[in-house]
Amino acid sequence: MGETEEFIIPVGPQHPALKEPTNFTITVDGEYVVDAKARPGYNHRGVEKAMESRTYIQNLYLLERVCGICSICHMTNFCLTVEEAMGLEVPARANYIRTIMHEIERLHSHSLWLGVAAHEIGFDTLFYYIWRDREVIMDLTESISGNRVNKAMPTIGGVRRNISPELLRDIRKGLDIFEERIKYYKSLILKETTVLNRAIRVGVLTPHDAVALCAVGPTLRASGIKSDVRADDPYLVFDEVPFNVMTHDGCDVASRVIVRCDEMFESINVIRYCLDHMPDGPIRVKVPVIMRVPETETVCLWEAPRGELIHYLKSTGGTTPYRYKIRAPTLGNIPSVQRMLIGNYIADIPIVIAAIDPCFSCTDRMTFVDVNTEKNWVWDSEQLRRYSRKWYQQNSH
Amino acid sequence: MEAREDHVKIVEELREAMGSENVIDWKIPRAKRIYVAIKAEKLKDTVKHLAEKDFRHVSTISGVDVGDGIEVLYHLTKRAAGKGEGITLSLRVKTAMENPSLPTITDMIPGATLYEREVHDFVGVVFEGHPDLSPVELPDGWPKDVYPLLKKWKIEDIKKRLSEVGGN
Repeated sequence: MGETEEFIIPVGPQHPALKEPTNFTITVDGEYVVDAKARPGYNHRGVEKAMESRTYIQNLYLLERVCGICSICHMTNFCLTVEEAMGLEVPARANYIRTIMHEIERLHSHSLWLGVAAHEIGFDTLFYYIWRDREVIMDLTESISGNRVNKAMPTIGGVRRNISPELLRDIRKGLDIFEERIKYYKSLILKETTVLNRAIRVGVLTPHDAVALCAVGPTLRASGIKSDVRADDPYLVFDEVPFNVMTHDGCDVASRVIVRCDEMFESINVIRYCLDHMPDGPIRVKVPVIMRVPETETVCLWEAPRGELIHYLKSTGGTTPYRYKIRAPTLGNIPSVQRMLIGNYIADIPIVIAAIDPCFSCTDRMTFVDVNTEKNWVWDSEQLRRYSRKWYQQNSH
Repeated sequence: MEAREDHVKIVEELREAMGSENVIDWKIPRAKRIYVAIKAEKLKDTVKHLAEKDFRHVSTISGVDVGDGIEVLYHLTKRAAGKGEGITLSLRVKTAMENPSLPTITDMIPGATLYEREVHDFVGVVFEGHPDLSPVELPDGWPKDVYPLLKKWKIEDIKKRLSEVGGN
């Protein structure tokens, strides 16, 4: 053809990477992606509006349902926001228990993601193995909180359940088993060509772009930028707990895998430190069921598994928030994933999108448009995934 | 207290650069949190000034209906390379309730694109110069006159309006 032609393909809202909806309109030139535009919002539920007509305790449980994976993050950050507005001091033990739950949630989220990433590149054996071992963490979550998904652990003023000495031993044992397995997977991934062929120099995000596009979390750190809310703006007990901010300078999908593996080891160490140093004492201070929050505003930042989460509360002195704003990390990473897709093969779309660990609380289908022929077509996730694996079977050497 | 002195210095420098008459109000309720209210015409200059002082990361933008206008808060974060000195500065500007409008900051900070669109979705602020203010969270067929986070829109009224246009 000589002159190249471009073609537009819609991808989503039935998602190419996860079981949640968002839509990407991908402009392609042959096998190459030349532009990508995301259209989230398919799962918008109006939580912020709903919060304005609910009391703070009702909102606590509503916030837990913002996300099924990082329910602890939204719920605890809401507690921090309200506690700061009310000038509440939370007992030290409660903050240690909150930190343990927070890091256990990161372990389950990162290992879930590692399995999903393996699945996206067609490495289902690895997917099943990782998800089997993730059950260790899920069982711990259940024995601490009584639940696997919505844990209902934190409350305004502290936490609702204590950690007994027997449970402490179980957590240590579980962490030892899990740590061994993740060590093995990390070493396997680093030398397994099935993974490396699909991850190295795929979905590149330069450090400059990562900063300009306001990327957050492991996506940012895998572009070599050292920034983590836990270390930059410590909350809970992170000003006492020693841990490292893990970065990698590969700027590609492989770096995002490595950063998340390394973060799991750091989380395990944070939990061990908390178990060793947790003080005795009360786990909550009582607050009235219908509480009035004084006229004020607070901003709380939090490092969720996917990156920086921010909550903003404006209270006018009533029993319900005047305005509550939530920005979850995936929205922060959408401009970056649009940039990452450019220059990659169509076959790389699922793994590149999966690499920001998107959580739309939703579904995606993709529209593809060829600039030359103006032909366009729609694929669902399974069609794209099948295409992607087949393409790599035929084109890998 | 040393950290707070740092914070005051940030505000003082901003007042000096923008002219103290343009900085309407400021407060430092605790370490790592600064709130500054500025006149809307100084928004772009202020964002530029703060970006030069390392407040380069837009954490998000909040739109708030305050009754006699719409307040837009730019939550700008100075990252600290893991050294515990991060600061979040919430920059507040106010625009009118009728035809609310502010200049875009996406030419300086491209990462603010979706946040401006989100504020446009929910409280109707038009960001002059933004390349594409199409809905980001609301559905495509959403009625143009409904900005759901404005206080005048009660949940029942939104439902009623949606049933009129055939949405759900």
